[in-house]
Amino acid sequence: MKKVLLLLLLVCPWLLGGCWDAQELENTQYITAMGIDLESEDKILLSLNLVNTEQLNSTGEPGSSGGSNGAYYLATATGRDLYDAFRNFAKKHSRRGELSHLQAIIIGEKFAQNCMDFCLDWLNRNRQLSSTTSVFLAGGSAYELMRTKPPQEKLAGDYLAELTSVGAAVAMAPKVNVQELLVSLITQGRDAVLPKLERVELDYGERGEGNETLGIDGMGVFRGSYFCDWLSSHQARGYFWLKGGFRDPVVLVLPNRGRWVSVQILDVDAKIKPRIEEKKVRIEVEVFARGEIFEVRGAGAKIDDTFFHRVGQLLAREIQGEIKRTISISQRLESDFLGFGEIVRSGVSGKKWQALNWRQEFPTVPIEVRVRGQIRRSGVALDQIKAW
Amino acid sequence: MKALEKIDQGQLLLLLLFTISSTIQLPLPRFLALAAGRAGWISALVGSVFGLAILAVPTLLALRLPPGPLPVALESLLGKFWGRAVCLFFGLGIFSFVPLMLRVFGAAFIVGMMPRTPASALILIFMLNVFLLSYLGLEPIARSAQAFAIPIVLAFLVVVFGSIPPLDLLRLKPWFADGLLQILRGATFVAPYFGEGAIVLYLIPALQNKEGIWKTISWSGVLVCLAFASLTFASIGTLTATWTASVPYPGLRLARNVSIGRFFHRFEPLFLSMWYLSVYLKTSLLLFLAAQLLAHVFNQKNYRLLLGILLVVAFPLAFLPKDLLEVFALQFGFARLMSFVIGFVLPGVLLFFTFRGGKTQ
Repeated sequence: MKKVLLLLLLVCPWLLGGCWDAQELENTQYITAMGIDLESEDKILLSLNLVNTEQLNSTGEPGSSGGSNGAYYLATATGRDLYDAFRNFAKKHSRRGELSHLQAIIIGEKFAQNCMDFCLDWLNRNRQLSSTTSVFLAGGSAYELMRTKPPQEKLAGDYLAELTSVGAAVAMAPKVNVQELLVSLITQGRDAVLPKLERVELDYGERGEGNETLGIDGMGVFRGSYFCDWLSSHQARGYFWLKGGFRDPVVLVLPNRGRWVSVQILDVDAKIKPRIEEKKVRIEVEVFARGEIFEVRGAGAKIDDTFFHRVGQLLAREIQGEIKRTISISQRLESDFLGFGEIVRSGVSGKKWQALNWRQEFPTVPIEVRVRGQIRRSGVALDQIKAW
Repeated sequence: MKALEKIDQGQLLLLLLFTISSTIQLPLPRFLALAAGRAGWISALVGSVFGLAILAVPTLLALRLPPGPLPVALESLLGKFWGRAVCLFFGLGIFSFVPLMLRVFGAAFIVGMMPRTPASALILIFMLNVFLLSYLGLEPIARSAQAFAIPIVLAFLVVVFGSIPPLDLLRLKPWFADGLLQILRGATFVAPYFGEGAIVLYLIPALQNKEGIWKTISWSGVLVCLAFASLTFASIGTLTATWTASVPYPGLRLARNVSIGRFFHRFEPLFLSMWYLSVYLKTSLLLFLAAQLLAHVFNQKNYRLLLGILLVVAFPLAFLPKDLLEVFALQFGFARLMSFVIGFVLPGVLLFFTFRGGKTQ
């Protein structure tokens, strides 16, 4: 019997030699960024940034992706849905498209307005796709943006993945990945947001293709699964005060005429408290922001405790205004992208939540905002230095 | 009958843990989210408490049975005919899990990692491994459980703790959103599987030292409870109840979402490999026990011949479910019922006989 066992063990290595469905590197086409547009009522345009593996390690200029000599090139395919478009993409490529290294998905504005549902199922089912892939909403067509070659990085996908982190850190645009998008689209009492991606110029004095890059500014908000409007980075600031996730944002206050004080916020504590009485909902928002003096311009009172107190009050007023502005836009658009409904839902039974009919209720819900601001220190300088 | 191989209590704990948890571990959050929504993880806790009560029945029976291996003890208690009849029922009951486990393994690997690989190829390789381990006997199975315990538990912890960054408690609140009835409904998806703890009927007599056995059994139950509840908690808290209910294996989806730093992504292949080890240990143990019990019924001195025969029978049976939904129907239908019968109903009846005093006791 031992011999039989030994024979069986000797057979095992034959099974370990390789797989019949192995995917060789040289037969794989890596996709780092992907754009989805609605071309016509029943046609989707898929734009893909494909890595030119032979050129990736060459010493070419970043973003020099013209023709077949760049680090990547743009390819497009159309189809009735995303699966169909990918199949059509395969018709003109000898290599198999691989999405495991996909770093950015750019959704075209028209697509987001009309048929976001089309890509939800695809995002959920695709095996290769990483849930940490960043998602953007294009101001206009995703294809047009993908034609832009950011000169900062060799691969546009790398550039976009970093861009979203930086943008979120300074409270310019939210950072959203595939998982967060899916969760926010399916969660009752919450609507989705996506960072707005647009074409910008590196140097405003220059013109031409080499001077163009991609930038983020503000966000697009959804009502259900449909895009409804844009928020500029200024309008979106209220979102960041309540949702957090940013790092050291700066608030500008004016304590007296001719004097500007920039406050760097180090710590924000936001609490949203729903008050539910029978069928009436009221929401109280309490924010406590603490920061330090970042920059003082112009003459005025000495920097001391009184100054700190005064700047703290102005800071609170400024933040309160920003939050109120964002809430009012949210209610006007009937899009609960701040997630008040989710918080209300977490405090009531399933039946009561259904009875509330949040979609209808939300635009008229009274929301009270209270903000406290505190200046903790004066940064690295105690007082202003002045030229004599 | 050959003298029992000996195991220790640590090994018993691990064998119980892997046996009870590995059949349903991957799809369980889905069924709990369907049954109890956001409170699915509370169902896992409540179900496990009931499960511990179920597990106590075969444990008590094993401690009260006459000395010797299970088939001998049953004959001492019930007489030759009824002893063998019960042994046959136990043997067939335990064997009925083997084809299901083969298919569960194949289905999870195909859905999770290898969609183009034929299930038959995967299952054949798996069967070969299972045969080799069960051929070697109880002690090697128990030692393998010890050897693999740390990587299996580590992989599980990475998935649960790796889900913490995107986890939001709001998705789990209110704790009793849809009422107690829904929670109890969800608990019925958990408790019966503790009946698979019927393996203690064979394993407790094989213990070197039975002192503190209740502590070991309780710990295994608590660990199973933690495994079920933490996975469901992480799944609903990260993916929401709606999404958890819409994917076949929420555990795998969680593993896919694990992202630690910029270097640790896509954990599902590693998680699936570790899950494979727990399924491998469970299937080997079940096959070994079924062969031991049936060998006694059919007066076969060498149970190893039966191992091969049982696997040959199990292979076509594994393909009886036409699709994944039928596999789930068996996992949460037939397997649930069978676990309850062999782990609670039958031991409960036998327990009555031990109190009355067996024929030869």
